[in-house]
Amino acid sequence: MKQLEVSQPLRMFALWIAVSAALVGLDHAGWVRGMRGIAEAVLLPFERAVFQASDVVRSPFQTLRFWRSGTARIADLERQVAELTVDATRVMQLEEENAAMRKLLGAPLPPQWRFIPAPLVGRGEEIFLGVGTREGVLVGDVVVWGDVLVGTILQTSTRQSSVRLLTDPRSSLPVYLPSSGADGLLEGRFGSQMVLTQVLQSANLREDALVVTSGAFGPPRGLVVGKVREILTNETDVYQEAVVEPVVDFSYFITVFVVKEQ
Amino acid sequence: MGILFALGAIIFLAILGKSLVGFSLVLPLVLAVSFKASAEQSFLLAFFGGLVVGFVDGSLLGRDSVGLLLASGLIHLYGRRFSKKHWAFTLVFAALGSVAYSWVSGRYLRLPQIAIDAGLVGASLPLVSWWRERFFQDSIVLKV
Repeated sequence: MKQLEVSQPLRMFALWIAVSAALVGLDHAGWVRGMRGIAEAVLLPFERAVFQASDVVRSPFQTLRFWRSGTARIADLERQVAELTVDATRVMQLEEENAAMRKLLGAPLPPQWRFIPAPLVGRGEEIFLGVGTREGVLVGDVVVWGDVLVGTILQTSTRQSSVRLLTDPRSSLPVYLPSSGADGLLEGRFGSQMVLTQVLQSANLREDALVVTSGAFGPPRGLVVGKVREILTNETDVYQEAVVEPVVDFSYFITVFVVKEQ
Repeated sequence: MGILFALGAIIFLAILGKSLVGFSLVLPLVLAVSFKASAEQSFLLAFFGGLVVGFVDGSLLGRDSVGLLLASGLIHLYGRRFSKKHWAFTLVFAALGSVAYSWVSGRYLRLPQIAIDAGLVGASLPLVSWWRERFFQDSIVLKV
C-alpha cells in the first residue's frame, strides 16, 4: 500500500500549530501561570524602562512640530481644562446627589472605592498596565484617571493587564448628558473615535456638552468620558448621533488607577 | 549563535513594539524572514516569536504563535513564488500576512496598520538577507 507522502515543511507547520494550540489550551486552563509570572517578573522592568524612555525618544519628533515649551504649555493647559471639566462635573454630581439624598433620607451611602495605582508599561490599541492578579486586578475592572474613565480591564495576568479603551470598536457603554439629562450609548469606532448614539431626537444635544457614564451597566455612574465635539443629526433618523472627544490626552499619562469595590 | 541573536532580536522587538511604538514589530520580522529563509527556520521563528509576544503582552499564550505561523505559512505557500515575479507581490503578501495575523490574534484590523506592516517588511528584507548571510551557512551565495 502506498503511503501518503507529506512534505517536511508541512509536517513542521502542523507540528508547531499543534503545539501552539496545546499551549492555548494550557494557558486557558491556567497551567502556565507560574511560568508566565516568572517571565513577566524578568521582562516588566525592561518594559517599564523602555516606556519611560519613550518620551525622550518621542520628543525630538514633537519638537519638529512645536517648540518644546509650546508642547509643555499646551499639555499644561489641557490638564487645567481637564481638571476644570472634572470639577464642573463634580459640582453637578454633588447637586444631583444632594437632591437625591434630600429625597431619600436614611438611604445607604454611596459605595466606597479603593484605587490601585497602575503604572503604564505600554501603549497601542490597548494600554498595558504593570499590575495584574497579584494586586487584585480582575477582568472588567474600571480604570480611571481622576474622575475620567479610561477604559476597562480586558485581560489580566500575574503582573500585568491590558485596558480596552473607549475608542475600541468593541466598546459600548451607557452614558448620559448632565446638561440636558439625555441618555445614550457611547460606542468606539475605528479604534480612534467615540460616537454617542441612541440619543432621542427630542433630546437637547449641544456641542461641548459633557458626557458621563450613566451606570445602567458597566462602569459606575458619574465618570467623565468626554465632551460632544460634533453633532451628526439627520432629522429623518430616529436617534441623534454625535462625535465625542476625550477631555484629556491619554498620551501624557504615566499612571492611572484601577477601581476596586471594597 | 544565529538562533540566540534571533531570540534576542525578538525579545527586543516585542518590548519595543509594546512600550515604544504601540504595534507589533515581531510580525514584520517574521514575515521578512519567511520571504528569505527556509520553511523550517521561518516556522521556528514564528512559533517562538509568538511565545515571546504572548509573554510580553500578557495575551493568551500560543495564540500569537498560531497567527504568525499562518502568516508565515501563507508566504511559503504562495508569497515566495509570486514575489519572484514582481517586487509588488512582496508587499501584497506581507499585507495578507498581516491580515491573517490580525484575524487570529484578535487585533483590530486597520488599513494604516496593514500598510505599515507591509512597508516594514519591505524595508527589513535587505537586513534579513544580510543577517542570514552573516549567521546561517545555508544562505551563503557564491559570487563568481
